[in-house]
Amino acid sequence: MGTSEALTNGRLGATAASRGRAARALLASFMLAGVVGVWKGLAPALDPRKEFYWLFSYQYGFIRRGLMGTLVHPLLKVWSFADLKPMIIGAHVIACVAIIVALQMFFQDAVRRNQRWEARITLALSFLCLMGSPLMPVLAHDAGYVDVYLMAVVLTALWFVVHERYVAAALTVVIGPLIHEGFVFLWCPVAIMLAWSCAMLKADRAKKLILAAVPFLCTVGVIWYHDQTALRLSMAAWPASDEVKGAHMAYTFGQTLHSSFDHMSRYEFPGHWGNFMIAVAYSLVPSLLLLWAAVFCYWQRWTARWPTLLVAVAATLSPLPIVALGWDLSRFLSWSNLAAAIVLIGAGAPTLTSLGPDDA
Amino acid sequence: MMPRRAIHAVVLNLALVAGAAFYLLSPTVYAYFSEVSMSYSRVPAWFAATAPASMTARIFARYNAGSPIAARFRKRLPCYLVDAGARQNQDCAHDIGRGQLVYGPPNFKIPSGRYVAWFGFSRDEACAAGEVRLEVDTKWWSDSGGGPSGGRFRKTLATYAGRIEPGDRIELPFTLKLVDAALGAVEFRAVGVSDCVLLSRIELNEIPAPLR
Repeated sequence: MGTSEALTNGRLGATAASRGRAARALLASFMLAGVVGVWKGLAPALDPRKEFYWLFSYQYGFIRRGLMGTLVHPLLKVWSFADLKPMIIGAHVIACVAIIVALQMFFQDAVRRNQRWEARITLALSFLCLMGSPLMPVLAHDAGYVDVYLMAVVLTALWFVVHERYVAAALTVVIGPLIHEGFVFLWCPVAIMLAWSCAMLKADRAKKLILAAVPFLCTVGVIWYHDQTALRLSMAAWPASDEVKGAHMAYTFGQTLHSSFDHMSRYEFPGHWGNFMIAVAYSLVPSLLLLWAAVFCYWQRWTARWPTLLVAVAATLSPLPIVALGWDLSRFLSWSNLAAAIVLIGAGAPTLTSLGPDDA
Repeated sequence: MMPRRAIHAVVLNLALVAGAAFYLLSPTVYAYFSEVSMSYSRVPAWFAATAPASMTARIFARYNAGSPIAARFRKRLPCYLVDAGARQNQDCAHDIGRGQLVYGPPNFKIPSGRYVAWFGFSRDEACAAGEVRLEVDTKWWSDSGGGPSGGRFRKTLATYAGRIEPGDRIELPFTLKLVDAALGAVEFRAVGVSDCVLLSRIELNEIPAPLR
């Protein structure tokens, strides 16, 4: 190698390194938008309707949604539940911040993998858009809910998937349905992308298919092994009013897929289609922007462009069927913001999408 | 001339930045099928004065018009008031003595518009006439659990202070602005100033907008 060539390479390397540092600094600064979102939405106290997540454990037998309470249960021997409430809020805030950091790491990885400067900028601004989106404020608002932990599980498993550690990912996703059966809806975008990658890529097909299916099988297991007697004993030990307990027995634990859908179609949707469309239009704009960004960044590299786009759209919308089963509209619509981020991350990940060379 | 991809990049990146700025400054929107609430929990109050705040309020302006909770409150408003020192009778009337307070209902969300609130008074064995201060307030999302002093931002929309005789009906017209309706809940307050009054009715009627 000649001296001038070495110098040129050295300069190029230094430029690339400084650009990398700039991109990292930019992404780090965009995390502030997520922190503002958390601050904008954070509820002042634990939602009393959701205290059962932290009080119901497996002490009387296996019950649905009993994992968080089981983890907290030993602490109740040291502190009263009133003392634990600020700690639960604190853990909620820490989990929100951890999600922001995890998403930043995913986007940093995506920026680093991309050679095109315009795609790098778009990826960085997509992260800013995600941090500004309804996802973080709504997540922060639901203090006492367990969605924040479900999302943490999804992102951890996605990290393992992107790094081809499928067994670790499978072990991680087992936790999700034990926290809440709704986990399968949050898992859908990853499952769809895993299934699509099986169709397009030869490597690790069996592992990917099994991983995609694990949360669904676990959910069936959770529902199957749920012990109604243990639930009744947990309810009896809960110092809440009969009205609150009755509502939880009827709705939180008493509903089936069919009865939930029946309730929604009889009482929630009729007369409220206008409201529903307003909420959908408001909440899904960031998801559409992230999808657009995925198309812009990877369209040239996708080996099967139109089918991949179709899969990306399906994956983005895949958590939304849950709105036919539950009335927390903003909460569930914001799941699609996370789904769009997962799609954007997965659309450029060689383990999840068949990509051509990045000929920048 | 800019290549197509560069134009695409500029348009997309502008849309991403605009989207981020809009949603960042917008309130936290928490919607169910028939009700929506919005809040700026812990960020500075100037967020509510930005264009995204008023745009979001406009988007969701009529969302709460068919709210079953608001309809239930409006049907029997005195029954949902909270007593701080005052005493509620069986028929939801409230004995309000000097220094005593009645307020509520909790989280009463109604669309923006012009309204008139009617406060009706009667008498019982304990209370007949006295001086009272009446208020219609809007209270933004509470940090302190919604007690009598709760609410991060409180704005008085209409007020009356004076002597009340049994059978009196006090009319308080007020205008609920778009952002106040979006971010706040309407609260009625009655504070006893002297002697004792019996607040027996509160009605709320929307004043139709004049035809243009």
